[in-house]
Amino acid sequence: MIFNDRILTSLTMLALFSGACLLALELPSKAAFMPLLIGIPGTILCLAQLVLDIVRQRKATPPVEAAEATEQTGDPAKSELEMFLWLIEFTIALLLFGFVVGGPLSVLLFVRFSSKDSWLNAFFAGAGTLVVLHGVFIWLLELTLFRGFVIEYLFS
Amino acid sequence: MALMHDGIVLSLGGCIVDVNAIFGPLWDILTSPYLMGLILLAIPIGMFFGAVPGLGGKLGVVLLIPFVFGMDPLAGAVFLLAMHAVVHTGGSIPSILFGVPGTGPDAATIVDGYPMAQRGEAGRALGASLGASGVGGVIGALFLAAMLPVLRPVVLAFSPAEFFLLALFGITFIAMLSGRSLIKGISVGLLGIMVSLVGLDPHTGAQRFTFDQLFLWDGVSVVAAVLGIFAIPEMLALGVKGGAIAEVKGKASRYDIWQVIDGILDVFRHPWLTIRTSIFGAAIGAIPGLGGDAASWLCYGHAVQTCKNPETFGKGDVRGVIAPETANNSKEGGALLPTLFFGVPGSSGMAILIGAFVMLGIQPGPQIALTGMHLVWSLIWALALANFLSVFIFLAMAPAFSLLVFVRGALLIPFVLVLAFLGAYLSEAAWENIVLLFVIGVLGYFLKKHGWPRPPFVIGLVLGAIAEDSIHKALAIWGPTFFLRPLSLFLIALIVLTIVIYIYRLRTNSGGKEVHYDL
Repeated sequence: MIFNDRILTSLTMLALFSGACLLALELPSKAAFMPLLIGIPGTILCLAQLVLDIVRQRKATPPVEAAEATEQTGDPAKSELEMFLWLIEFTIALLLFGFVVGGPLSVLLFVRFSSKDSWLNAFFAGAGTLVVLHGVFIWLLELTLFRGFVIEYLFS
Repeated sequence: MALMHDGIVLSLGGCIVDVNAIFGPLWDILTSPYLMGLILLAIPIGMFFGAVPGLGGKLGVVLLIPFVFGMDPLAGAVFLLAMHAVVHTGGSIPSILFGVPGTGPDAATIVDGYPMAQRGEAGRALGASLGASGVGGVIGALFLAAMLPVLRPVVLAFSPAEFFLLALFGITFIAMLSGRSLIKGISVGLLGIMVSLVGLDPHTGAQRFTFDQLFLWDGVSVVAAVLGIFAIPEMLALGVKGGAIAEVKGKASRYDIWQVIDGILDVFRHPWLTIRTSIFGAAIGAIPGLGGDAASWLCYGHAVQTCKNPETFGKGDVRGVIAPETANNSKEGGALLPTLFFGVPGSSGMAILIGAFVMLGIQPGPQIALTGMHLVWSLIWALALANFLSVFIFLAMAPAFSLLVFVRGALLIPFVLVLAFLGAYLSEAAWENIVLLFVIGVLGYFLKKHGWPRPPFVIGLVLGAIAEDSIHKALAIWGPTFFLRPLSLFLIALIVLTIVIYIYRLRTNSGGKEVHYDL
């Protein structure tokens, strides 16, 4: 049986609930009460959903499966993967270089390479982000933004 | 009328009304340039989120969360509520001009608004929508105000047992109405409760699901979770879809300002319809989970049923614009009732707003009836003022708003992603929340993709702590038979009824096929 991402989503939900129940068993009874009260019905419901998903997948006629397979390997799957890679890029850039450097840099790269805009537009988008982050959050709201591990290491 | 030393107290037919407590907050807002400035700033922002199809009020609240950090709770709450209150006012613009609903509840406006635009009455339709939204919003706020004396004793009659059951009822109800799969809805709601249990157990001090991470000792940040479950999946989905946010073809209909003013006057040419649909909308909004779609369509149906010449509906009848638009804005007032007093959000938008309130240090629930009435009245007046002022701001900015539907997703995505990460970080000044946002965001994307409704997650997250505290108290007071109290039995009956209605609806539906709701 092929696990598509619909079934994997149900499996993930099932794993989250059953994992929480298992972890709750090691807690004192009072602390474990609510996690078990929520986790057991959650596990049962997700198990039911998983069964429903598997039954639906088996019932699906071959042409539909073929169509789904085409959809999975076509453009949507590719752009989905691209978006996840961009999300990872944003996460890593912000963790390493912080908001003031990593934020505008990520925006610039996204506008240039994902949207395929000109360097000029990308530069303006990045600069706009820098102005908002610095102008609104640091200057106006006087908040301290995360500087990123690399920047902190370099300046420490 | 009686006069007391600390304020004016009116005695009307045996009902005591503290004028100072009611109008004091209004005076405070009107005389505060800061609060008035925030309301005036929130209105165009709210209209922007309404006018750009696919964004909506939920995402608006989520994205504004980073901007209200460090604000006074009252100011932050007023700002967010004012923004959220006028989303549907802006949402009518693409509905009427392009036939594309800005938000789900604006779809009913298309039925008559778009035909009006096609026959050259776009300005009149926009004016009617604007006037109806303004009047509906104000009446919704007044409905909320009128219900307070009735609601207060009801709220105070609730014991911990009822609050636990109310949390379950809220999740069941919203799960049913926010998607076609009750199993998925309740599961996501339970997951929200489970996530709310992360941290130090309040009774034993034991670490629960913290994995020895210090930043999880105080629990999962509500802001990071809300941003992760809503903002990240929306942006990922927008990126996967590509292109502009709205698939709009053709040019917007032309209109002039006099047409708009004529449309506003139409609202006053149909006063009883306006008042009726406003009150219906507010009442529907007060029922947890029923939401805006139901309010606008039910009020549209009511207009068709009660008008003498219903044959003109669907062909560009101005009453078909007035009815859903009054309901769209008045329901926000009604939805605040269960949100503030029971901690059960009246709509999925309110579910996000409740998360933002918690972040600001405002804990919705019964205690607000005892200690937070100044805040409640401030929010009521903010709601009324935002709706009233939105009429004038709309008139000034109408031409610019019609261009918003062409905003390119590619430019919005990176900026929103940075703001989402920023909000998650700022919620606790912890870099770990950046990672947490990523994880919840990925989960949220797949939940969205496969029709697992996400609003119940936020409700579970917010109500989790209340539910746990309530059940421990109920068990300590009454033991395992706590659910045999009359009010508890009533709530259990409501939960069972909700499930029975769901099963009935599933059977009467064509094959009970699952529909992917974009929540």
